[in-house]
Amino acid sequence: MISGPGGLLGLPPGVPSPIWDVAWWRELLLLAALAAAWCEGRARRGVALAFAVMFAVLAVGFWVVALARPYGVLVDAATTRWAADLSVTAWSGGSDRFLAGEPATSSPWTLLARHQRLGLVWLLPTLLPLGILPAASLVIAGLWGRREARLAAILWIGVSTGPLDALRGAGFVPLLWSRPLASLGWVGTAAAVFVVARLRVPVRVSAALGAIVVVTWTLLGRRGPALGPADTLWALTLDGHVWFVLGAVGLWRRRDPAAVAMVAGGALLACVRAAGGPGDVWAGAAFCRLGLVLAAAQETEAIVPGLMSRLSERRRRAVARLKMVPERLPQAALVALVLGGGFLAWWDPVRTDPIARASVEPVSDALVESMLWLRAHTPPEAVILADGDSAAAIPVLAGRRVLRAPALLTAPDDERRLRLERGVLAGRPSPALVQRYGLRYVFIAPGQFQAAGIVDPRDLDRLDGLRLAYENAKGVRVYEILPGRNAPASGWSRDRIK
Amino acid sequence: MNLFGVDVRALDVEAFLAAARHAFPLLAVAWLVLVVRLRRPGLLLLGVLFANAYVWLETNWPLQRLYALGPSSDRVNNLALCQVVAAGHSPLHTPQVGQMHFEPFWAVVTAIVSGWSPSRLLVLYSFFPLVTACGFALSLFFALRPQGSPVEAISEEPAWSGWERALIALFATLLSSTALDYAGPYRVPWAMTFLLKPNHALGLVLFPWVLRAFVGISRGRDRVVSGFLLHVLGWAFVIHMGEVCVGLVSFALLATLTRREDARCDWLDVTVVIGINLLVVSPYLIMLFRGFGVLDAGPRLQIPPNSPHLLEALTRTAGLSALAAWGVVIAWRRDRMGRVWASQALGALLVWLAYYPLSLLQQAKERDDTYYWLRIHIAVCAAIGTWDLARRLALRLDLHALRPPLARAALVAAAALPFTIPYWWNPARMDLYFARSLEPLPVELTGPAAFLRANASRDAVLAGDVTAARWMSALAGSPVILARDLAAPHDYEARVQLNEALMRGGPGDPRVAAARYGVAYLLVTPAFVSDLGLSLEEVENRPYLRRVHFDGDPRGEYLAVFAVSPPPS
Repeated sequence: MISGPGGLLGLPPGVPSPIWDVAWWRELLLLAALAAAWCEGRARRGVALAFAVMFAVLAVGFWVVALARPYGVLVDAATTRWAADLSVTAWSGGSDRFLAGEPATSSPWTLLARHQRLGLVWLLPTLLPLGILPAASLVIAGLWGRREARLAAILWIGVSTGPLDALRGAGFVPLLWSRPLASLGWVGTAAAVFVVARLRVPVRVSAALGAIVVVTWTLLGRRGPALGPADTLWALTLDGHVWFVLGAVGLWRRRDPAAVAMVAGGALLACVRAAGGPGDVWAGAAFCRLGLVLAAAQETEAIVPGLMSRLSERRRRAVARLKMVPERLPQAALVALVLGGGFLAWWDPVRTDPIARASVEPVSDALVESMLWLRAHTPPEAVILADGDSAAAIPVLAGRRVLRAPALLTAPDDERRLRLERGVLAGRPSPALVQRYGLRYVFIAPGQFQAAGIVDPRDLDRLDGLRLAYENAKGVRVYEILPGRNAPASGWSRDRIK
Repeated sequence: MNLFGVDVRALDVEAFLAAARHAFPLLAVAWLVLVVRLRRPGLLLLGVLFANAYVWLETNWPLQRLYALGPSSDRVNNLALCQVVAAGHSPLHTPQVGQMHFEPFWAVVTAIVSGWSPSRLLVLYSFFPLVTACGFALSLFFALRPQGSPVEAISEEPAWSGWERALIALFATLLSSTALDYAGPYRVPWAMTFLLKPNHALGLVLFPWVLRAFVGISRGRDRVVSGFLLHVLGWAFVIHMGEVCVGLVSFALLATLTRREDARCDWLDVTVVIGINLLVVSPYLIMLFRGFGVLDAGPRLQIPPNSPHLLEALTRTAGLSALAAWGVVIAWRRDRMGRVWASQALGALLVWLAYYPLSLLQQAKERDDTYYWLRIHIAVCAAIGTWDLARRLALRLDLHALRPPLARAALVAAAALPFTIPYWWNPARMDLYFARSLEPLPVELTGPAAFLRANASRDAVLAGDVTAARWMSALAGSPVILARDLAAPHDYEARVQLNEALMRGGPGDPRVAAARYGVAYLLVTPAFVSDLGLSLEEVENRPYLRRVHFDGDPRGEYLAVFAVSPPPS
C-alpha cells in the first residue's frame, strides 16, 4: 500500500539501517571522494566528475532508500495534504479534494496520479533529490562553457550545501525533499542563466540578462523558508566562508557573466524575500553559492600554476611517480576535502530533520490493515468521519474522502461539518447534512472522539443509526451510517458492505 | 532566576539565542579591527577569551538551574563529589561514606574556591566552565612561550610568536568543535568538555604546563619536577595523564625513528618522567583498578555502530585535519617544544586507533574523552599549520600586505570566524541538556536540601532513596550510604539491606547498623516506598523515625526527611 523507495528495489523496511549501515556507507563515500580526487590529480577531470556524481548519488541515495515511506507522508501536514489529494484522485475519482465538498485544482501531480501507479507518484519527490545534484552538476559542466566548468561542477557537488547552510534552514540538499518542483525549476533556471551568459553580447548585458532570469523567481511569490534579514545576510556571506572569499576575489578579477548573474540575482532574490517581498531565500542562496563556486573555480585554476611553479624538481618527480600532474595537486586536494569532508559525507537527516526521522518509521500494519479494508469495502464516493491521525491516514491510504481533517486543512464551512460530526456521534445526525456531504461511515480508533464524550469505540454500538461494519484486534472500528432518513441520495447500497 | 539572579522566566529563549548568534560576527569583526589598530597579540588572545565567555554566557543566561543538573547524571554526581568535600569531608572519599575516591584534585580545588561552603559552591559551580575554558586558552598562550635557549627562527619571524600562540588558543577552544558535531555520536566537544565536565577541562588547563616542564628538562631535577607535574595531572583527570604518557612515548619513538641525535636523551627523559609519575600515582592506580572495575567488559563498551571510527578523527573535521597534518610536520621540524606537541597529536591518534582492538574486546571505555582530546590536538596542530601556510602563501603570491604577522593573524582569525563555535552554537538545538535545564529545580529537592544545610551536622549521613540521596549530596554536601549511579562500594549489599531495614523496621534493630555508618537521616520518596511495598504512614510509624521535613504532595511527588534516633546505649 505504502512503502519507501527501498520497496522499489525489493528491500524490506529498515534496510539500509541509519544505525547499522551508515558507518560503512560513509567509508564508501570517502572512497568515491578519493577516487574523484585521484582522477583530478591525474588530470582526468571527466572521470573525476563521474566519480563526484557517483558520490552525490550514493550520499543522497542512502538516505532516500532508508526512508520507509515517502518523505513526510503522514508526518508533515503539507506533504500529507499533497499525498491525500493524489490518493483520492487516483482511487476515488471525482473533482473534490480529500475533504468532501472542497473543489480540487488540477496540477501535474494529479495528472500523473490519474495515469501512473500511485505508489510511484508518491515516491517521486522522495526520489527526485537523487537526480537533482547530478543534473545540476552536469548542467554546470555542460553549459557553462569554460575550461573550469568540470572542476566547478565537482566542487559544487561538495559545497552546494554546507553545515552552516543546513543549520540556518536554507541548505540546498536538505530542502530538496520538501521542494521537488522548485528544485527542478532551480536546475532549469541555472541552465537558462548559462545559456544567456553565452550570448554574443557585452559581458555586462549578458550578466544583467542572467540576473533577470534568476530574479524571475519573484514572480512565483513568497516561497521557501522564511529567514529574517540577519539570517539571510549571514547565509549569503559568512556561511559560504572560503567560497565567499575566493568567489569574491574571482568575481572581482574574472567577471564571468554567469557567475556575476548567479551571485547578483541570487542575492537579490534572497534579500527581497527577507525584506518581506516575493522571492525565495533557499533558491537565492543556492544561486549565489553557485556563482561563488564558479568564480572560485576560475580563481583556483588561475592561482595554482603560480603556486606550483616553485615546486622542486625532486618533488615533481615524486608526484610524477604517482602518475599525477603537479599542477593538479591543489585541485585534487580541494576535491578530496570538499567531497570527503563536506556536508554530504556527514549528512544525517535522521538526526537533524524531524520529518526524515519520522519517515524512517514504516506505517503500522494495523493501520494499513484497516485502510485496506476501507478501500476494498467502501464505495469510492463514500465520505468518512474520522478523528485525529486517522483523518489524515484515510484519504492517503484508503483513498476515501473525509468530512474533516483539522490537522491538515480547515474547510470554510468547518462549523457546519463540526455540527454534523457532533450530530452523528450523538446519534442525531442532520439528514440534510449527511446527504450534503455524502457521509457514509464513521472510523474510530481507541482514544478518538474523546472531545465528543466517546470513552471507548464500542460506545458507538449504542447509537441506533450506526452499524458495526469492521473491527480489528487493535480496537479500530468502522461503523456504517445506516440508510434511511439519513441516507445520501445516490449511488450507495448496503450490498457494498461485506 | 538565572545564575546572576535575573528573572528570566519571561525570556524568549529562541529569540535570545538567535540574537546572540547574529551579534557575534559583528562583535568579532569589530574586535579584529581593534586588534589591527592596537597591534597587540594579547588583544587577540583577549578576544578568544571573550568568545569563550560569550558561548558560556549565551548558554547559561536563560537557565534557571545549574547547567545539566538533573538531565545529566554526570553533573549531579560530580557536584555531589565536590559538595561533600566543600562541607568539610575528606577529598579521598566519595559521597558514599567510607568509599575511596579517585581524582580528588577537582573536589579540593572547588572546595578551596568556595571557602568550604556548599551553598557558595552551588553558586560558583556555574562559573567553573568559564574559568576552565579561559584557563585553557591562557595556558596554551603562556605555556607555549619560547623557553630560555635562543629561539629558532623561521625566516625573519620568531617561532611561537605571540600571534601564533593566540591563534593556537583560538583554534583549540573555538575551532575544535564543528557545526555538525551535535548530530554525531560524541556530541559537541566544547560543550561536553567545558560546560558539562569542567573537572576534565581542568586537565586541559594543566597539561600545557606539564609539556612545558618536559620540554625544559636540562638536568635530573627537571625530570623529577616534570614527573611530579604529570602526576598532578593524573589527580585532576587520569585519562589526560594517560594520553600525555602515550604522547611522550610517541615523542621518544619518533626521535628514534627519525634518527635524531638526541633520541637517547629523549628516551631517558620520557622514561624518568613517566617512571616518577607511575611511582607516585601507583597506589592510586591500584585503587582505580581494584575498586572501580576498570577492566570490566561489556557490549556497551564498543565503538558505536553508526560511527565510522577512523573518519571521526580524519574527515569529520577534514579541513582542520589537513591543516593539522601540515602543522605536525612543521612543529616536528621546529624545536623540542614543537616535537613534543606534534607527538602528542600523533599519540592521541594512536590511542584513538587503539579503540579498534579494544572494541573487539568490549573494552572501548571513555571514547568521548579520548575523542575530545584528539580534537583539541588536531586544532592545536591545525593552528600551527595554518600559521605556516599563511606565511608561505603571502610569500609565494607576493602579498605584501600579509607579510606582517599582525595582518596574517587578523586574516586567519577573520577566515576562521564562521567556523568558531559562537557563530553557529545553538544550545536549544544542539545541546541535550540545555532545554531541560531551563526550569528551576523542583521544591521537593531544594526544600530538603535547604533544611539539611541548615540543620544537619557535618557528619550526619543520609540513608534512604538512592536518587534522593545523590541529590542531597549534590545540593547539601551530606555524605550518604548509597547514591544512584556512583560506583558500588565493597559492602553494597549491606548498605542496601540497611536502607530496607530502616524502612521496614527490621530485621533486628536497624539503628545499630545505621549507627555504624553514622546515619542520622532517612530520605523517603514515593518511588522508594512503593518499591518496598510500603506506605508513607507505615514508615512514619517506625518508633526510631521522626519526620523533620516534608516537601511535595503526599499523594504525588514528595521527599520526606526523617531523623533516625540513635540506638539505646
